Amino acid sequence: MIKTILWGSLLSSTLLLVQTTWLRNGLFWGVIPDFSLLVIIWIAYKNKGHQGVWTGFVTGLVCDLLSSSPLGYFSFVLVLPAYIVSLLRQIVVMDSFFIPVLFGFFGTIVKALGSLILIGIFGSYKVNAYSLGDMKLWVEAALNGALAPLLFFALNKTKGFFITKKVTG
Amino acid sequence: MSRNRRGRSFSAAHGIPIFLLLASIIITSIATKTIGQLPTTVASTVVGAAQRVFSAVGGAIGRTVFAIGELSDLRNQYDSLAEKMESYSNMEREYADMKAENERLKEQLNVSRNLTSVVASATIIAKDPGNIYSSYVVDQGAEKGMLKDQAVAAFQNGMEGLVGKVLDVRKGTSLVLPLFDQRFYVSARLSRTRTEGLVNGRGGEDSLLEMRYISKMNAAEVQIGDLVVTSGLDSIYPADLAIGRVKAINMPEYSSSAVILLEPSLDFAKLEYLFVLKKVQAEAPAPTAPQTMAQPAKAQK
Repeated sequence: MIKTILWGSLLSSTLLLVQTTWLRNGLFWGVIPDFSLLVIIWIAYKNKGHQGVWTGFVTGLVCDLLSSSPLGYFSFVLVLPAYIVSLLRQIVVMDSFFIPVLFGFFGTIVKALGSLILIGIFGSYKVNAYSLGDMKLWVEAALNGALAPLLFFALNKTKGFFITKKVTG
Repeated sequence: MSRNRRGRSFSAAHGIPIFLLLASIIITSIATKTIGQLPTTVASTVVGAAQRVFSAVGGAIGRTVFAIGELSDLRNQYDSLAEKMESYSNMEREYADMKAENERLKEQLNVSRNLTSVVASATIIAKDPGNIYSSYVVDQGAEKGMLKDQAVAAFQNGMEGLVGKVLDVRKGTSLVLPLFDQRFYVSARLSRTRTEGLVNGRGGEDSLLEMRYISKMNAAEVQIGDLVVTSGLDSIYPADLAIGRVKAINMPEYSSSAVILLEPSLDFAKLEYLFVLKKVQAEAPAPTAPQTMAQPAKAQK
């Protein structure tokens, strides 16, 4: 389990660094896709325990250090989708395209809802949040949905590093 | 008995996620009250260094790819020049390019001469990893004497404009909070009418800024296209740095003051070189200055 969390956190943190540097001007319409979220969702789905949730927590802390957000913000925002996906894994059967697209899209929406919960707790002077009316949120959700099948395919090829106990094929 | 089992299975299934969500909230609450910043500072330095490495690797790859492309271009240019030796068309084009570059470099040089309070000039090496927050990571830090809350400016299209302020300083990098972030506030005034107000961002790099706390009577004198500059009253930002131009004036019925929407003076998508400025001594506030000139809340890391 610890090995999975470590490898997962390392991969998603590396992807965060890619997002801050090489993709800093965005991939489409100035919007940066969230590869680290997709990795966390994939790990949460593929593992039987709480590996995805822990990976989300650790990656969130790294993300907070790279960002101007307060420490703990992205941990919350990334743990939430991982937790929901871990609840869904018993009733959703993964395929190669549609489920990854849905996970990528709705994972981003859950992340946005997490940010809205935090702004509700701490207020807009302390933290930022997505706006559901902002087109950028929907572009990011669409980008994450579109990129999820590719990333999930690549992760399936290296699953030895990221799966402790396999749930589904 | 079965209730106990159900309780145990519930805590096994949901205990850790709920614990981590709560831990995140506790950490955020500590961070927003700026307690326990030491581990953050150490870790920030490490990730800052990692960002520099990534940026350098990206730059090196980019330069290599560019160099290959450039080599190919030079080859084509050579062939072209050999064919058209008599004409100086290519030389003229190169001359024009160099002249443009020279003008651009002169602009940058002028700003660092004009702004006598420049602490350091810096280049953006990374941005925020997601789309919720907006911050720039620049390649200068505490080593160059940068401090938290120093103003950051840039020179674009012949104008000195406010970029934001330093939010966090690490050893070799710093985090800059840009003007358009919704946690950013700056005391400002309309350049033509000298009316003062408070400007804050609305979150997006391409979204308009808001200027508030201008009475409707004063707002009646404001015209579309008027320039808004820093007032220099808040001891962070020097006076007369361009912020934006008036794009729209809203007079909400429920309020006695107007909301003025500004188009930022700087094109943030094209920012390259930034200048970090020393903090200025606060002027004595003018008697007419509204109480709201002070920043209501500083963004906290």
